[in-house]
Order: sequence, then structure tokens, then C-alpha cells
Amino acid sequence: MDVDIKSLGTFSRLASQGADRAAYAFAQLTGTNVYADVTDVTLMAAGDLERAFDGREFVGVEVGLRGGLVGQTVMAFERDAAETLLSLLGADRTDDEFARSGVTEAGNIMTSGFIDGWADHLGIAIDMTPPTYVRASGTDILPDGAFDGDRAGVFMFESQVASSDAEVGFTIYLLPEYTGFTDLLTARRQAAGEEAGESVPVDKLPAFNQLTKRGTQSAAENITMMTGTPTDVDVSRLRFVPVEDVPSEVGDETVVGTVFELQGLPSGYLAILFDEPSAKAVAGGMIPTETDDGIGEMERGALRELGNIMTSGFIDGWANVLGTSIEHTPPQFVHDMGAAVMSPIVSQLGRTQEHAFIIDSTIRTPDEGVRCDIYALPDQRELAAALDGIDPAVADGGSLGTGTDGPS
Amino acid sequence: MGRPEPVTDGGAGSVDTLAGTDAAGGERLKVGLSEARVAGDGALLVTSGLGSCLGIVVYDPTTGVGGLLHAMLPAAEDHPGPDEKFVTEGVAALVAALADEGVTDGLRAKFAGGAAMLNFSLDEDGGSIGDRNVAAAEAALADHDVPVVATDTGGDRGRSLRFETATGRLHVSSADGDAVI
Repeated sequence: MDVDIKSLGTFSRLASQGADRAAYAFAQLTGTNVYADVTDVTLMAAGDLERAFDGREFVGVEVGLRGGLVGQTVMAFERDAAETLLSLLGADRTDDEFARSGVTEAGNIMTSGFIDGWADHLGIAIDMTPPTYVRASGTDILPDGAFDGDRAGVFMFESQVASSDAEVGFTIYLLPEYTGFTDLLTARRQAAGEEAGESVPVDKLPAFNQLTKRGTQSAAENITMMTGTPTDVDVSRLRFVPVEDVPSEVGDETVVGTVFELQGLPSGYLAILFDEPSAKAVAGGMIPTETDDGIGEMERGALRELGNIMTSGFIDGWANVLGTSIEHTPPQFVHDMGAAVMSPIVSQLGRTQEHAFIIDSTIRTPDEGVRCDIYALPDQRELAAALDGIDPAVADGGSLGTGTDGPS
Repeated sequence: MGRPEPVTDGGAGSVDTLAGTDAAGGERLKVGLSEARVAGDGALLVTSGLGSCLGIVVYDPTTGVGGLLHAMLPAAEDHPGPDEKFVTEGVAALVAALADEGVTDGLRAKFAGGAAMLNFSLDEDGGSIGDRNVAAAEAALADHDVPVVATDTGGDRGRSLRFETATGRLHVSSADGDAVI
């Protein structure tokens, strides 16, 4: 099932506008300067989403759609975020009934913004049933059709809502039913006609995500081998975002690590980034002697060496499965604001594309003392072309039943 | 991003102006990547995460009205994206947005960013993106007859900016320290 990249981009933009409208409504209601910061389209394997949502309490609304987009769609946010919103409203009531009306109102604004925007774009009608309040734990918040079989992915629109003058920050999730959504994207592509490199075989993305996770696993094992520190791989996610939003995804915190340029199919960029304490701890594990505080020449050398080995492991996994050859440049050391580190990378990608696929994986030590984020940003068209070449048996998940991905 | 009004124009692609900002009383307004924003009334325009990107302010010191652009690439040529993604087109949009507010004479400009943090193979023809962004800003501002009164560019450090529309002061923060230009 191939989907048109431009349609995915349009969906991303409409979701972003829906979030802007919802944030505007919150701002008006609460008198705070809240705004919708970043909206991602994330495709996750069902098992990954189950783990990411595990143990979290959500509230939201569910609407049924008929017409140009068919199926159930859920808009949700965490229960804690709902309480924050209610307190901003100055409410001394946080009881269920009050939460229900507030959440339903907010959900209605956000979902209508998204659906109306899409209907306008297509020039068709999409009918919405009145919103139903939902409250559930973990992936029970999802509409029934969100998981389309064990091996498929879940599309999720994720908008960060923040405030420039108050400590407000929460995430709005919009989760359409998988089949209806992919049917629509596919129909759009067929209507638009074939254009080389402009469509993504979406059914192969979850498999690709799993392979990325394996690459991350081998990168994590390299950290363990070189530093003696045990490591775990967190969820890997494939996100589709406007290129200008990529730096915000990484944030303004100081990061330390290495950046690589990838050459081959797909070409692109790989950034291996630690926070400062993690970088110091990991480098310290590789340096036999005590060093001064901070990140000095010894630490730089150690992190370059580590980055080199992690990158080789990471991209070997891609190249093997895609049946292509990918090489990487020598490491470039970075120690700066995360967003600033990503800025030259997005400038390069932004020459030819408006959106970027970010494959984001996190490695942690079990005590959470060390965290490493790996961001892979492949060229969009080359990734699409390379995915086309994945063996259907692999893409079907046939050889991916084992590994670290747990139940799915 | 950072728009206090619902967006109906398809995202980035227009400079938010005074009418849309409600920027009374020294409000702090965020300007994202590939965005520009014009404000007055003592508003503070902020942007962060400038690596090779360039932050350009154009302002009128007498009225305290000014704008901030956060551009990614030198010129649109055949690249996709809104005007504000590019220095050349973004400066034109910013100057036009100021003109819409009746601010046309006595404009001044400052810019900061354009670092060379990373070297890429695509840079080999014509220098780093940071350097080319700086050159594009000099040319675009000269085209619009806006004198550049201060800059803080190049190097290999990322920068964050805060622009005081009331005073024309541009605060530049980086890992090397803070400066006001």
C-alpha cells in the first residue's frame, strides 16, 4: 500500500492547524500564552505503541466519520494534562463531570479543525458524529480499528502544546482508524497519479522501523562493550514532520555527540546525541584514567570513536535489508544546543524537501543514568525508493517475529 | 507555531503583523524556524537554535516597531517552502510587512547566526550554508536600502536571540556567553 508523500504532508499541516486552533481556544479560555509547538505524524509498530502508552491514563473524545474519511478517530491527552487545563481555568472543581465537559469541548475544537481542514482540502464532505467522552488506560484509548492486524503500524498525530510564559506543557494525540486513513492516503495517491519517489510503501514502514530497532540494538551493544555499562533500547519511532520543526524536536538543551553524513541509498544524516552528564559518564567508561570536569579532548576522542562504531552497526542493518550500500563520513563532534546542531542538517535536507522522516531511537542504561538519542534523517525520496526494494517476506514481518519488540 | 490566532493560511508563509499579534505590554513572542514576525509596544521577539540559520531583525528605532526573521537557506531558487525559509525572500517579506504597518523610513538591520558547525559534502561548492546565508542577508538588506548596524555571525557555536523592539537591542546567547549588539 503506497501513500503519497504530499498527502502525508498535507495531513501533517492540517493536524498542525487543528492543534493551533485548539491551543488558541485554550489560550482564550485560560488567559495564558499557550501555543501548539510541533505536530508530528508518527507511525509506530502496534507493540511499540502499547509499550509507550503502558500505564498511562488518557482522556479524550471519540468521533465517528463518514464520507471522505471513514472510521473512528480519537483525540486524547493525558489525564494529568486535563487537570492542568482545569486548574488554569481557575476551576476548583476537578471532578469527573467537569473534566468531561472541558475535555469534550477541547476535543471537539481540535478534531473539527482537523476534519474540516481535510474536507476543505479535498472539496468533499466528511460527516462527524457528536464527540463521545472517553477515558482509558494505555492503548485502550485507541479506536477499535487503530490496530490493523498484528504487524501493521499505527498512525498518530502528536502535537506539543507549550506556553512561553508559564509552566504548561502537554501533548495532544490524534489517532485515526488505520484502515480508513491509509485508504484515503492511497486513494489520494491514485488520484494524483504516479510520480517516482513521491510515494512511500507505508505497509513496509513498520518492518523498516523494526530493522532500525535492531540497528539501535547493535549500537547499544557497542556502548556496553566499550564502556562496560549495560544498556536498553527504548521505543524507536518513525516520524514525518515539516523540516523546519526538526530542531524543535531535539530541543534547546545542550547535547554532546557526533554527526555523520550518510552516502549511498538512502543518503542522509545521522546524529548520535547525549546529554552532558551522559556523555561524560560514557566517555569516562572508555578512558582508563581520571580526567578533568567537563568534556575535554579525551572525551571528544572517546565519543568520536564510539560514534563511529555505533553508526557502522546502525547503518549496516539498513543496508543489509534494503540490499543497498551505505557509507558514512568520519564523525563530526558537536557540543551545543540540540536545535542548533540540527539546524545545518535541516538546511541541507530543506533544499529538496518540505518534510523529513526522522527515525528516532533512544538508548538508556537501566538506572536511567545515561541516555543517548539517535536521530536518522534519510533523504525522503531515496528512502521511499529503497523501501520499495524490501523483500515482501521481510516487509510482511515474517522474519521479524523474534527480537526485542515484545507482544504485538 | 507561536501564533496566538488560529491559522487559516496554510501554516508558514506569511509574516504575522501587529494586527495579529495583540502584542501589548512587552509580550514575549516566539519566532520559529522559517517564520517571521513583526511587533511593537515593547514586545520581545525571541528565537532559538540558530546554527547555520540566520536571525535577521529589521526595525525602526523611532517607533519601536520591528520584525525578526529566522531563515534557513540563502534564496528560494528552486527549493520548496515558504518565503520565510529563505534569507532573500524572507527579508523582502519582512520589509513588506513593516511597510504594511506604515513603517518604511529609517529602517535599521542587525543579524546573527550563520555558524559553520558541521561540514557537509554539499557545501563544497560555494562555502558553508552559514556563510552563504550571511552573504545573502548583506545583499538583500542592501537591495532594500536598509543599513546593517550590527552583526554577530560565523564561528562554530549555536546562538539564541532576544530582540527588544522598544530599544533595538539584540541579545545573542551562545555556549561562549551572552552579548548585546
